[in-house]
Amino acid sequence: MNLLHIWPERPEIQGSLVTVRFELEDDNGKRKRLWYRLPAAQREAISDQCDSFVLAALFYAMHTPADLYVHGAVSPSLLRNLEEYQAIWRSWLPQEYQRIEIRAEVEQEPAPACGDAAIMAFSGGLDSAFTARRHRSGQAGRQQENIQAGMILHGFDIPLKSQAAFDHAHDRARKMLDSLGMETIPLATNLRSLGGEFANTHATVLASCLSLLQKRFQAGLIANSEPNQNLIYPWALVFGSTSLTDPYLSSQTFSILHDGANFNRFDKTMLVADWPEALRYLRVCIGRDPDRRVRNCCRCEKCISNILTFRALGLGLPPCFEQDVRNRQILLMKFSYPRDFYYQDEVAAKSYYYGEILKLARRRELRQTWITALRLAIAANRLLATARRFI
Amino acid sequence: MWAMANLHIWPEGPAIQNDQIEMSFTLEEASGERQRVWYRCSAEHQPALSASCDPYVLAALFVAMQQKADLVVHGQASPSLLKNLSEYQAAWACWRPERYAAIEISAEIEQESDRKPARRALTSFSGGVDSAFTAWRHANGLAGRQNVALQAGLMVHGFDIRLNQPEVFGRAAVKSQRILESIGLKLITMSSNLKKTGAQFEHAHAALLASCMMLLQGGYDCGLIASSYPYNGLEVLWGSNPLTDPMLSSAAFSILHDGTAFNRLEKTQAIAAWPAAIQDLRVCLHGEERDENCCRCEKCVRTILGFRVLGLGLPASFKQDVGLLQVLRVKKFGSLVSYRSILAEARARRLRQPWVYALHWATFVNQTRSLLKTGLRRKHD
Repeated sequence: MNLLHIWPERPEIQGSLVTVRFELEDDNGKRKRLWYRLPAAQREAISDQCDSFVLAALFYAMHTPADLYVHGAVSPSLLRNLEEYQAIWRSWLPQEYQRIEIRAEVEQEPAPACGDAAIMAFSGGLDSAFTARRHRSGQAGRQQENIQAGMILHGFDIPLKSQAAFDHAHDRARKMLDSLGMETIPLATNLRSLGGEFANTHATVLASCLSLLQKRFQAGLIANSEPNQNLIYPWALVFGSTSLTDPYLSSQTFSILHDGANFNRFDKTMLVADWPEALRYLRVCIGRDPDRRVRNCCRCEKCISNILTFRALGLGLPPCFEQDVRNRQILLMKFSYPRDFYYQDEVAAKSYYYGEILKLARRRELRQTWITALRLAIAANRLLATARRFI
Repeated sequence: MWAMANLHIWPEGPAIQNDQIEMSFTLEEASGERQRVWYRCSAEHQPALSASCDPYVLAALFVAMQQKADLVVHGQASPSLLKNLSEYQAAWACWRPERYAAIEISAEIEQESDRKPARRALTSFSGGVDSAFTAWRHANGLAGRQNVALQAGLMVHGFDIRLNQPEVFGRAAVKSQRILESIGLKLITMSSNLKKTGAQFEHAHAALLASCMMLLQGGYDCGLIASSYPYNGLEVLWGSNPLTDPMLSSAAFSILHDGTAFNRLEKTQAIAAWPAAIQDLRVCLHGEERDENCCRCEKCVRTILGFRVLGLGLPASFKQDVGLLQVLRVKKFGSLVSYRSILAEARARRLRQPWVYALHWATFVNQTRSLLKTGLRRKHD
């Protein structure tokens, strides 16, 4: 088995920003430099451990395949969890991923953060808005976490080169989080330059960034995107972030909590429906152009599905969408995501979700033309998928 | 004064009779009807028995969710367990909303049980392939970083073997004891009427197993439940799965779902070198007396074919081999993924024997039947 070395570097402060770096060196001595950049005010929160770097390099190592050797300290509890995490992905996609060994110069649990503060990944989309709202408004019952900050990532769904787009997204996220009394922490990273299927790896990238601040926070929340009720379907189970896999990205001192798995998109929409900042600044778009994406293009499949969700729930068009969806757009919808955000079976996944919208419309006795258009779009996409499979 | 729409758990003190100790609680239903739920084991385990009501909460959980009645515990329960159970319930209410509702659980005292300084684990042990594999890999240190300090296996009378068959359970327990002793583990037997609480066993069995194991939290800090399905063939609607089983844990006692990374064939291969297991394996769920393998039911057939495809022959725990007709007639596949892996292994080994073709045919028939059923159900919905 090949070997990859993780070489951590000391955090470096430049102006108002601090940069944390590590290098990934392969057997041939070829090095990749990976970095995280965030406000210098977070310097004291940055962990001395290499846990974040291990999470960042995991899928790359499993795909290569190559064992990992960490020239620094790693939590043994994280290494234990990652063994099972790897086993899951190896079971699901044996052609893609191999089980690898992870060794570290020092295996030690760091001192836990003082207090019970938690941080969450915050994209500004419906899932993360729901998680922020339910915890900040005390509606999470015994699952309640003291979420103090939301982390918005640059280099995740918005490419690093699109600075203006990120600034706009950051501004929208900040307005939403401010209204909940939460801090917004922007973090830029080039972790995606490691490649790999982002649909599979995205939770490890999120966990890597969140756990970087484990001196200040004791838990990091990842908002659920695929509810538990869908996990009975194979297309939903084999996905980068699920309630089954995310907890295995935890260590003893820093838990990764997968939040809101028992709520579907309708429940989530209802919870944010009376939150004016969310209705104004939600960002759900996955359109091709990152600059348009931050303003919701109102044309991509994800924008359409969100608009229809609000419509089916009788909530009208929220102000975060500049224009409504027309029947022609619904009819011409293609159930496919851009390359980096896809399901194993996109048509099955989207047909299921739109089927739920139709059920809701039926329950609410809606008799509007868009429902027929949606029914036809589902049928057309299914037919097309069957034909494609047959060919 | 508690509202009538609640279910009450009234713990009772331990009672010793001869060499047996009984722990029990009364479950008072919303209708006022009372039911006594008991657990009996050898009095030698008394020091390990817990006074906490955590095991009783697990025992009553599905009944309460089914009746949509809040649960009131007249004793001590762990806040960490109650926190985990709120997520556990939400998952089941989400999967089966027509049957289960998320309920509130309150306890007179919310306090964590004492944590043990030394780590000691036990595993639920039926004597089948899954639990034998779990015992084998942990006792021999083959589980890598997942390895726990396994000390004992717990076999519960009243689950797969009925309470009115004490001789059958006795014989099955002797077999389990031989298997576990051969790797230096102790067998703990317990009997309980938990199955009579009215919970649907298919959904509740992990919670009931966890209840029995957690009763021994005075001596152990971790209970293993052997996985039934692998990650690439997960059945999340099956009572025991890797998603919900860990949510049956408290801070003082963890429930670990073990071995999901391995399919049944890999488990069979792992225990093949263990003579005691081969001799006394007990997989049958359909025979009249379940201390013996009937060699006819679907599970017996599946296990025998698993050994056969690996070239291990017929294990001594099965008195007769499986014929072609039996393979052809297999109905209601318990686990399609197991048969798929048997067929894949046969392909990899280039086996061209009649039973392989028979199994192909049976798989095709069962798959078609299952697809038709799903289609009809969808149409009906």
